[in-house]
Amino acid sequence: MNSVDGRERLRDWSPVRQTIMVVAWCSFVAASVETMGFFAYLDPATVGCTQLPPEAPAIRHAAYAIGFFFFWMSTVVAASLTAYLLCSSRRTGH
Amino acid sequence: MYAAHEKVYPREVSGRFATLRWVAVFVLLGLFYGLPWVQWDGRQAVLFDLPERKFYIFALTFFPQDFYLLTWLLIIAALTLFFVTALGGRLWCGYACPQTVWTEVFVWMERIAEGNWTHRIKLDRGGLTAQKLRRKVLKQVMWISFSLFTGFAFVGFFVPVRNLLPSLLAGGVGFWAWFWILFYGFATYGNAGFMREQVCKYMCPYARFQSAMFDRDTLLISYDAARGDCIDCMICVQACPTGIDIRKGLQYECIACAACIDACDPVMDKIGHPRGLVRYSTQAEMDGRKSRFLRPRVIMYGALLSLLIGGFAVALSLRVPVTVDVLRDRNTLYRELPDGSVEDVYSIRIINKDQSPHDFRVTTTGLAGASVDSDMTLHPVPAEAVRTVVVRVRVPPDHAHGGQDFQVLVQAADAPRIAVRSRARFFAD
Repeated sequence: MNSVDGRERLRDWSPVRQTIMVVAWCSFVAASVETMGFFAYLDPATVGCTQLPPEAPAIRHAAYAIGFFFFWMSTVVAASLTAYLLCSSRRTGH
Repeated sequence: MYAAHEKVYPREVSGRFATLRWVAVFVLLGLFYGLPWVQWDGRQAVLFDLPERKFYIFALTFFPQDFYLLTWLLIIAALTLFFVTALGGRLWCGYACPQTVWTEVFVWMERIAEGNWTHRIKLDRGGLTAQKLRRKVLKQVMWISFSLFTGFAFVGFFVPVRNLLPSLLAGGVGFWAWFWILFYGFATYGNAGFMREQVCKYMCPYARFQSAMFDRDTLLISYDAARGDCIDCMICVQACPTGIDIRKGLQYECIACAACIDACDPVMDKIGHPRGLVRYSTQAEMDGRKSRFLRPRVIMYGALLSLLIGGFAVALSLRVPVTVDVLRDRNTLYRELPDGSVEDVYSIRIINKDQSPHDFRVTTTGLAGASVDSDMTLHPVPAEAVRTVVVRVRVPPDHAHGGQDFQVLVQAADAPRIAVRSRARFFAD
């Protein structure tokens, strides 16, 4: 417990909670950078057509968001697998 | 081995550094909430217009083609952080990091709703009473509305902020504006309301590697154990937002907020000892030597930083506000005209990044005898707009052979400085 004089302030996240938060956060940063770089070079409104469609802003809005979550999911998968393999190898001693 | 997370109840302190931290909060959050409302030339001064793929920063307009400048800017920002760290230690963590700044505001609201730190501990330990419920609800109302306001300000950097509120109420902005307001609001609420120092301890990469920038002359917060006049009042420990005891020496959890200095100084005053038992100091000073300000590390970071900033300024001033993409007509490779000359058709996408309209002339270089034919001799492109023009490049019979590389030159008729070349290939058989 957290005593009033602050002497016993033991607090740590459990390893599982730490892993989840670190995986979510680091992959979030990576996905943000990927999204910026990717859409700087690719205009989602011009994919598959030569003329800019009138609804371009709406297409871009949706594409940026979906693109971001797609990148985030893929980085979460990569980071989770990395965390899982590192943790399980430590447990089994391989 | 792992105790469940226990909440830190930082004791409130006042003093020089607490004041400084509040100044930082006002300046930084003032910029965050206020900047979107600043106007420039009849438009929002700072607007990252993602749907239109244009970034406005005061007098400058950036297009996706300028992405390298953004990368450059991020490198400068990172190096500035290293430079400041080498000099002043974790000044960033203590005063400027959004995590610190927003936590400061959330703790302030918590204090209004639930009272000071001892009240909060009692409140959390006590059973559910009407008063507890009232205080908790008040805190949540303040936190949630402030988070939504923060999300709103964040989206205001991407959607013109002056129309944002009316169109949110009228349902005029789409799903995504609402989504990002809630997303950013929720992140603020979670990070500043609940996770707080856990973010620094477990999630922040800078907290882990900042020690690599440290040397014996870097500013840090230290406890002068050699003085031996600590009366063990524990106020420095109670004041620490990350819940550490500074008297145990430098710890990576320490965000250098200096709350412990503010806690200790009045105690030293009261018992008639000189201030500074806990103070900003350096390892060298603690070892009884003099701190050096200029040292190889600082000079190196400083030189590299000046070089990058200088280069950035040059790149920015030499930036030609036009970009072209030349595409050959995909349908016909080439066409022979009755007089025997050969004609290739190109689509030229002209991106006028300037804030004024220009009339562009298209010519070629490096292609003997070539002439350019188009519907217009000058192609008007409005300010910050993209136009695609179709040109026919003709080469007389005696020069038309095989494939030849040449350059398309696009130049503003009214401003010769605004000119850009692009490579293309001419086919004659």
